Amino acid sequence: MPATIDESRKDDSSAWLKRQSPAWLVPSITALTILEAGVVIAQAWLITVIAFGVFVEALALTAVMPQMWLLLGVLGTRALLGGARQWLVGGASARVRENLRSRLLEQFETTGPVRLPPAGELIPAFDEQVEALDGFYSRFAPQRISAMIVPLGILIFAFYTDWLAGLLLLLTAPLIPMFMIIIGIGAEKLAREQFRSLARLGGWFLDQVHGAATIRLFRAEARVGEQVSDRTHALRKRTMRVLRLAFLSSAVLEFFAAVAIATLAIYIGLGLLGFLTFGPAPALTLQSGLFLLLLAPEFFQPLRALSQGWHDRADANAAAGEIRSLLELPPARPGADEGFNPAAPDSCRVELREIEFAHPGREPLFNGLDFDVQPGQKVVLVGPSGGGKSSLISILAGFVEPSDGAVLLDGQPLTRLSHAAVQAHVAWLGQHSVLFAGSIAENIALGWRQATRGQIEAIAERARVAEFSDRLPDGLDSPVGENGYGLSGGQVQRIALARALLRPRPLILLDEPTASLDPESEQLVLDALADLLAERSSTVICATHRAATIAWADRVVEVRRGELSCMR
Amino acid sequence: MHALIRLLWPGRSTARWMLLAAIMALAAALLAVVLLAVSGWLITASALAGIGVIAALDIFAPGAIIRAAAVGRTVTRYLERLIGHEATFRQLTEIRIRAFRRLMAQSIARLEALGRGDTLSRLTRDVDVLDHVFPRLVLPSVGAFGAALLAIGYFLFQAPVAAAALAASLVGGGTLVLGAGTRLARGPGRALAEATPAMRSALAEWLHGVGELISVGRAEERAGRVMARVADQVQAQIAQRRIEAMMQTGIALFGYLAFWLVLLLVLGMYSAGSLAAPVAAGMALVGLALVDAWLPLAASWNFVETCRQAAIRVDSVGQEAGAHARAGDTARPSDFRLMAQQATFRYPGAIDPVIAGVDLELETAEHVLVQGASGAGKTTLGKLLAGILVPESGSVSLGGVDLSALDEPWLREHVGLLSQRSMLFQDTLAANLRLGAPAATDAELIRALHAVGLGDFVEQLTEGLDTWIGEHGRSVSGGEGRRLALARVLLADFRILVLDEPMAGVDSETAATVAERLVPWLEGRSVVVLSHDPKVLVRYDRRYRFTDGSLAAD
Repeated sequence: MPATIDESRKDDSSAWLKRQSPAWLVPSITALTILEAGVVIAQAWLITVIAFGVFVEALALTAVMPQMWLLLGVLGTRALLGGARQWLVGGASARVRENLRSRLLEQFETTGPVRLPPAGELIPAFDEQVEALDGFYSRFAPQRISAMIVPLGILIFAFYTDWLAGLLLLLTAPLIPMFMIIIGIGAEKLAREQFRSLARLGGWFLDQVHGAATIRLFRAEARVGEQVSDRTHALRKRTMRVLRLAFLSSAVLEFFAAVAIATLAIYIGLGLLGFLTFGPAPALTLQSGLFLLLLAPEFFQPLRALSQGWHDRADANAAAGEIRSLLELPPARPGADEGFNPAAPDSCRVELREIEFAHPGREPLFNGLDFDVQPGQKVVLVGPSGGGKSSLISILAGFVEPSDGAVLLDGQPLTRLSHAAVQAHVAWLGQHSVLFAGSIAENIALGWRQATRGQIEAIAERARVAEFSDRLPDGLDSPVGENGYGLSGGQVQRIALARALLRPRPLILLDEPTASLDPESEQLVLDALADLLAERSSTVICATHRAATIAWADRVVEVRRGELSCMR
Repeated sequence: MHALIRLLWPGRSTARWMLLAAIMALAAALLAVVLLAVSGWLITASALAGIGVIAALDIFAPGAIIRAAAVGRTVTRYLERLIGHEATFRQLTEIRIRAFRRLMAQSIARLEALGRGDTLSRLTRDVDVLDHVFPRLVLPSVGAFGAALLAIGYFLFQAPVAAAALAASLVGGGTLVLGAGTRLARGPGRALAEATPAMRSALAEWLHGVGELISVGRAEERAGRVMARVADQVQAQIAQRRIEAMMQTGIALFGYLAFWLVLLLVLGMYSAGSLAAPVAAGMALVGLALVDAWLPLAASWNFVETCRQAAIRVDSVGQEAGAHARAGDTARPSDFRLMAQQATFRYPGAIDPVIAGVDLELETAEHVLVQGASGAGKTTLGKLLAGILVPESGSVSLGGVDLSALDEPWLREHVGLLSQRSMLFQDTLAANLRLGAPAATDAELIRALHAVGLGDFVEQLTEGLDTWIGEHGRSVSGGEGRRLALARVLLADFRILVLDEPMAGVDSETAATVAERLVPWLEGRSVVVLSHDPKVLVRYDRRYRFTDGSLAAD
């Protein structure tokens, strides 16, 4: 029964959402709401005392002035309490979201680049989905507390004043839980359907907007413009049919509230006139009557607010599901021991023993793979894409762990090595490198905190970075990345190469470093690489599709369907 | 504010619905006030009649008013929602179309650049924000202000001082709070508008480089930069919320003060004998009921800045004067001879030009190959030849007229480009193919699909040409997508075709079949093929080799 699973997960989401809020939030909001309920009742009581005094007891205005001043104080307190609650929940909601984003980033880092979903999924989750939780904390949660406390408090006073009026309130709000269920099931479902069709229209519109260039190339802009209009109108017609019913449910709620107030007013009026002789009616006075009338709208107000806040809850639940699935991503190296920091040698022996590995949901890639690389040996991996070159490099870089078998760097198990130790052992360069906003020198310096300016300049020279940076006005200090100079793919890759190799490390892993480059740029990067490697004693493992151009290789190994075979 | 009003100004069909919704909103707010006020009047009158202060009381007329107000409030609220949504949907159409037109007024080069970034997603999100202006901002404001003004009008007859109190404290004070709050919210609103995209791009950069950052041990440190942007956002949001809380407090304070003043004044007038007790009670309750209508305005008006920022961004989309805007150009070429002379192009900020002094000639109905490695700049050359980019020096001309001097719609009608970013829409196969040929029959679509070797593909589909492709439909492989895009550009019947890597991701056997079948389709058309692999067409009139930004005859 998928519906049941969906329900349980949703309830789960609500509980999870509550756990994310700071511990002080619910108690302090509850306290504020109790105070507010007290103030609401005090306000009604004071107004009736004043009215009774002036109209019935014929007191002069000056005689009720103390009560008037008290009323002003009560009204002021009510205004401040409402503001204070907004102030608190607004801040708390923002902090919850900040905290979740920080946890998401930590999770992304722990999970590592291989197991991470694409950025196209992560960025909306980080921005929009986390943002969608706001309604839960800043509207729904306080509204729910209000809906539980305020009507209950008023009901107690109403029963105390006139049990028949109290009963009327209780009956016209046909049991608060029932209200919640009716609204919860009916309105939420309909609201969600409407939300979904709107989202679909939004998605379609986004698609057209993204294809704007294509539409213009076919001079179809006028026609697509008409479609935008047609589709919105079609959605409107469909949605309006649904909404006519959906709004009925909230109209019923409003109707109960309005009729309850009207009935109460007429009951009190008739009672005061002496037309009603049953129950507590004969005992009604202007004071008790006005008191009940003033409390009636306050009784229904929180319930109406809550019914409007249900879609906030639905949105937040949906978003919470996605955020939680990201927070539950597996770590890349769960067994890392941050205290295990063996010193890195000059060059590193690499041993893979009986490696078993599969990408999630796919056929096993490595079945008991064994592979040894001697210290200082320079190995080139070739083979078709999907054959396992990249996976092998990712395993050695510690981005992902084999399901079975051992990876030993310099005789030490990679699973146990601390993160700092892996960084000290392994340099890694991938296919699509990124330049961060900043200067060329800053981008290179990212590779090693301790590097001196001299070392950066030297490696820039070696990596053929100087060749183009010399032509920029500020040389290595010229800005690149966002809002900086536009560099070609080959130039970016040479900076990335300098960054990866700045710090001397015993194992250098290169994952198709030139795959996305044109032949001329590729040759420049390969020349730079040859220069840089010539002076190093590091072990090198490089996956490439152009083994022929690599002269420095001691060994060429073909990786095909998870099997290794030596070619040279 | 200017941009917001300009974007949201209703069209004629929408205006009627909006007016109706506004009337309903006003009626609903008013009836809520009437319900409470008449009830107060009734109870006071009954109490006084009960103890004999007032002689006789007709309870049935006010009873009927109370019942009518109760039912009327429900009905008008229901109609407000219904008509309000109708109006909102109609406006949504207008907003979307206006945003779309603004977008379409950009040059194609700019649209392609926008497509790579976050701008277009943000545009749709901004349009979503603008969708909510009417129901969230306009309707509650109409109800609150309208009911208050009508109440003031009524008070003027009964007790002008009370009218003055209501006008000064509730409307005057309330408006002051809303105005000041909205102004205060500008700073955080602007900060938020900058912080959110900054956060997204910081995250995108970090995620893109996360492998490198982890391997150099700087991932956590760099994540700090993303968190700094998150903190900017949080700070702006908290400031916004605090302003909202202050606005709410301010409105409540002024509103309750108005009620208190009205109560004080009507009690004084009652004591002075110039006002009957039931009327005094009713008027006091009017003051109280109005506060309830005004309180939600704090949240509504706090939303103004968000809307304004969205409107400014949507507005700014249309500001770039693109190639499309050259409406005055009516030059017509004498023939279809396409020529590039010493054409040079450099991307903004780039050190070296991608295209450095290219000469190319394409006689009418000639087929030409430009062969070069991927990443060498062929795509840029294609865009220059199709008039999407303009060379920084040198020229590209058609029939002796510079492309940039040609009328854009005319150019788009005659010169077609199969770009590498040619997009397939999440729509039916037929709708995708008809993009450039709305009148094409099903048979013609099938013929074009057969030509690109997708005849079997469409035959296997149970829904044939009506099959949805893309995210919610049948997924299309890279090679299939490429050939669909090729079929689409063939159907559009261009005189000159620029084909940029048309066979990317297509195996060589299929490519050979397609090359054979393309012959009749390309008969009489001028074609430039930009490809690393020459096996796109069966024969070429001329071949060029493209290296280092320049062309050499092969």
